[in-house]
Amino acid sequence: MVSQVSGSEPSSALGPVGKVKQAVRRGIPSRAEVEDLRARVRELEEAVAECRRHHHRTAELTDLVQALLVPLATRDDAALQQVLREYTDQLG
Amino acid sequence: MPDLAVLSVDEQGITLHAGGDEVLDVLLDGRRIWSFWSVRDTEPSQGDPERRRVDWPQQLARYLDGTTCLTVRSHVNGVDLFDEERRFGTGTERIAVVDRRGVELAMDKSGRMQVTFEGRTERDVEPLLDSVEVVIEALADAGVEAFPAYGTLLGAVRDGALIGHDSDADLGYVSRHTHPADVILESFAVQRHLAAMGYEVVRYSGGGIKVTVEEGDGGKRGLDVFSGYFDGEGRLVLLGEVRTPFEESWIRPLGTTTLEGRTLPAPAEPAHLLEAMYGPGWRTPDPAFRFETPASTTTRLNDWFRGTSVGRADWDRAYQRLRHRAAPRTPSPLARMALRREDSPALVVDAGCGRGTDARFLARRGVPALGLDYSTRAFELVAQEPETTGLPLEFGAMNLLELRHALAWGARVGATPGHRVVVARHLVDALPRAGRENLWRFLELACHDGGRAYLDFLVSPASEDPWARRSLLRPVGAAEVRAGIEARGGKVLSQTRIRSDRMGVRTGRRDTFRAHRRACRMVVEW
Repeated sequence: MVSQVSGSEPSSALGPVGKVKQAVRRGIPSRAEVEDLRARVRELEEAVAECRRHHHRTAELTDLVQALLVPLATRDDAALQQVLREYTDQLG
Repeated sequence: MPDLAVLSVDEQGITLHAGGDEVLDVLLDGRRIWSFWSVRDTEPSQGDPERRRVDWPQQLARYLDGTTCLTVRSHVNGVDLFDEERRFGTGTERIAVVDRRGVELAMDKSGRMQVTFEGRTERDVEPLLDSVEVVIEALADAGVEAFPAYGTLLGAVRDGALIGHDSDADLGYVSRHTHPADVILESFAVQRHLAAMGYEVVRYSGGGIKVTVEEGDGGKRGLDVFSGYFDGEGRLVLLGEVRTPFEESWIRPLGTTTLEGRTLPAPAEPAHLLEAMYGPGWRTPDPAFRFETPASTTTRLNDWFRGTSVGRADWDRAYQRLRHRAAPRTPSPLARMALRREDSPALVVDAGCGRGTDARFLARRGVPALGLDYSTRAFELVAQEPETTGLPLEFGAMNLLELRHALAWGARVGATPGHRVVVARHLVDALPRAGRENLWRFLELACHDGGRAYLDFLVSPASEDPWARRSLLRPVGAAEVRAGIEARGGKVLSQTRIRSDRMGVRTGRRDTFRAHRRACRMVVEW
């Protein structure tokens, strides 16, 4: 998108080379650069979403491990079965 | 022409002249049934932007058969724009928008026909208020300070009363934690605490649960409880719609508000929270209100907390329709096959058991059976049948969209001594991809050391198949299933293509997909 800057030539009066020169003078990225930036933003958005999703998974794993850790550490098999039974019974 | 006028009302909908946008109520025989915005909810017609048209919402149109006095009324100033006797369809009786018990319904904010608070007496709403108090107390027992939220808070602060066009009560609490993972962990602990107290709790997301309370008349009511927290950057995040700069002192220490004469806890300065929820115009009633939550908030809440109830609304609706109907007696061909092939298994799990027909069939044949489904409502009838008492039959809630469900149930089943078998009929094709990944994990744990899984799933045709659509199934490629199972250490013993008539599908003669429909039957061993 080429915006009009006061004091500069109207872009309609320029040939293709002139338009490019004008764009370069203004520091406007090329179409390829814009496409590249778009792709990078998309990728970053996906990466951010992936990171956010780890919160739920971390919570799930922590919750279950925490419930099982004491009977596991004490090798209390009966308590382990009991914890598993209660844990699953209280899911919903 | 006045700024706002009703031009016509017909079988399809309402045509308006609307210069500006305002809320209109539609009343049938003097009772408000539906509200809409004159511009936002209508479409321009015949090239004139001010001539606008709105169709009857599908949910409401089902009731429009008979005669009624139809009124279209401006919600804000109470002026009637239309008020005439009308006839719809071929019916001759007065139109009654009521449920099976004859209780009056109206359209709620999410477009469902619900029993709203409008016209309900003090005595009618007492059980709900009791439930609100009971659940707030139970949540306090679980360690969080809850208060009425969303519409319930709005009604309390604005009018000291429930909002007429509302149909349920919402609660919220603001955690002391500042990270989503900790807030979710706390919510799991709260759920466990409530379950241990005897409440039925259903989880919708990492920060949203529904607590069901049995009321005095035996009826059940679900209250939504939303988690919130301060994010450490000066923002309040509250499921399901809020993420905004906020002072902690506007929430705590909690103050009080009055709802229908009862004193309940409330945020210290509730006006700020109401503005965050409903915008600066929260003081003006809007029965057609719609949340306009910024995409940046929705995306974050989705990523942090959601994804554990994908597709659930459709399944809930399907089971809701069947809730009074006895579960079918005929077991599936898959359950029969497993019974025939497996020599005295110690336990057969029907994963995704739905209404519990196969689990009951297996238990009646003397095989210890465990039916697991995300929906406890689905198998409720079978689980409560007197004839199942004394059978080796258990049911449990397993939501395969939650990893901890898959792991914990997998471990519990896998700890059963002896030969274990899992039957999963049309579960693979009912789950989204994330759910299938968790199913493979569950099977790996449940079937370790020689256990077997029997799977039936649709492989074709595509989703235009009306039976598949009705059954909420999406075909899955057999190669994908095989790869998922093998990655989890399973060995596919057999893989066969089965036709419609061997799937236990009962469809009519006009089922043109019958000849093309194919399922895959896979037997897997670990």
